[in-house]
Amino acid sequence: MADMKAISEFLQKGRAKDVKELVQKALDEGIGPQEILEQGLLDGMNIIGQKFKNNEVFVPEVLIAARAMNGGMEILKPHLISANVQDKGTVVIGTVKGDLHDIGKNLVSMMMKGKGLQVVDLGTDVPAARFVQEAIAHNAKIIACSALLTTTMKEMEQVVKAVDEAGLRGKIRVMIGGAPVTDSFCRSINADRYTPDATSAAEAALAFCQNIA
Amino acid sequence: MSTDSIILHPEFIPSFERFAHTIRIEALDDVRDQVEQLFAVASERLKPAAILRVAYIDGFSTEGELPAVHIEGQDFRGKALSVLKDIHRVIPYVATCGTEMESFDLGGFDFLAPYWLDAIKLQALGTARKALFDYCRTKYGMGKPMSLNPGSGNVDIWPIQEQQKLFNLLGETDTIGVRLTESSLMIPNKSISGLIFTSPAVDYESCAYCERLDCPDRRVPYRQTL
Ligand code: B12
Repeated sequence: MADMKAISEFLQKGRAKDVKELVQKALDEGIGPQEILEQGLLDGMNIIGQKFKNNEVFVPEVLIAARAMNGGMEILKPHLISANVQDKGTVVIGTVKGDLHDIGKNLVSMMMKGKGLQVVDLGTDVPAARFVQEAIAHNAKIIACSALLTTTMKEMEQVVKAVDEAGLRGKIRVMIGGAPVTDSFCRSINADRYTPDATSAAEAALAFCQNIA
Repeated sequence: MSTDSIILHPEFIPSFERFAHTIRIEALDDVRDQVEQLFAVASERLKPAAILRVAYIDGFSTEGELPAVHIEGQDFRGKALSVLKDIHRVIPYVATCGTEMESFDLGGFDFLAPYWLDAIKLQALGTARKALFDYCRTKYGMGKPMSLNPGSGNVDIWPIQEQQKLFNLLGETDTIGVRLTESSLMIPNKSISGLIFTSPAVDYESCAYCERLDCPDRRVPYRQTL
């Protein structure tokens, strides 16, 4: 019998090859793709996320776990689509204009995927208008902006303004984060949410998606 | 008095063991060949470098509330600069991992390959930094070289926008390939900049003034005031 706990545990250790094999085995045994997703892959990412938040594991552990999750998803995805499993919402994420840092943004993106959200990654150096265009194009509920410098975090205000100007306030939430960003900065530019780490960013994003749904 | 810039090109001998640990190689047996290939290419190509020169402090003042230091026509402002009050000589510098892997195509590689490359680049930057500090110790007799870095510490310690003035002091960072963007970001990403100084009276570490108390990278305990 395929074991969801084993999928979760191999994922936490970053063992992509084992995760892939077990996901395939579970499918072969007729276990539903949603169950494999929720109780295997997402469960593993969730545990890694909590450990990362508590400084029990660090960036490299998150990276290898995310790689294992990707491996499992490659196999699972066609089955999720044919079983018509609904996604939980879409996030458009990017590092703001003028900034090229991407480790933090990528971790947030990985954790959000680990909550079962769809993530459209626009990369780095993303102008405010593009965040909004892409959010509309993908019917996203959240725009997530990352910045690692005090000079570039100011761009986040432009993103908030662009959402306002497009008349999408309340329909699309703007989340912000990165080393120099704080909660008071978030309030000062009227963004919807700041969180200090990737795990809480993903939790907040999921909560937003469920509420706006 | 103005002195010429000095460029250091230390030999780069990265540690595979350290690299393997950083990337958690034990989980990557299915892509081990790629890991080894990238390590070999980057080790061979990366040429870590540092540019530095000796500069003399012309004066010290307080502008508004902020300490200001005047170095060869450049006026720097920021709380952290108070540590330079009784100092006459500083070493402006930029150190980098090298530009040689910036346009390397990671297309066919695993999705974690950019992080593997970053890990090697960090070792290269470490080599450049060590060469720089060793040079200051041996050539300038600095017993304990310390560094002030634009942008480091808390927001108002020494604003990152002051990077341009530091680059002005060095004049020719182009020769080691480091470029400063409009937002004061250095490219390649694994680059550092600052003013090295030595003083028996101060013990300065920018990390001490950063308010991210639970940062896993914290080097020294938090201090509220300079
Ligand atoms: C490692 C590091 C370096 C390394 C490598 C940098 C690199 N890009 O690869 C080196 C040594 C090269 C370096 C150099 C410099 N650095 Co540096 N560096 C760091 C450090 C310690 C960690 C950065 C990192 O990779 N973190 C890991 C990632 C995962 O964390 P993160 O990006 O913050 O993301 C997390 C959260 O912020 C959050 N998050 C991120 N995005 C988002 C988005 C949303 C929507 C949400 C909700 C959450 C969220 O979730 C992520 C995961 O939990 C930080 C301090 C710190 N503790 O963060 C300073 C820091 C970024 N550096 C800083 C500075 C000043 C510099 C230099 C300018 C110093 C200098 N003069 O030499 C240079 C500039 C380099 C350049 N290329 O221009 C400052 C920037 C502050 C400012 N004034 O703008 C910082 C904040 C340190 C500080 N407090 O002084 N740096």
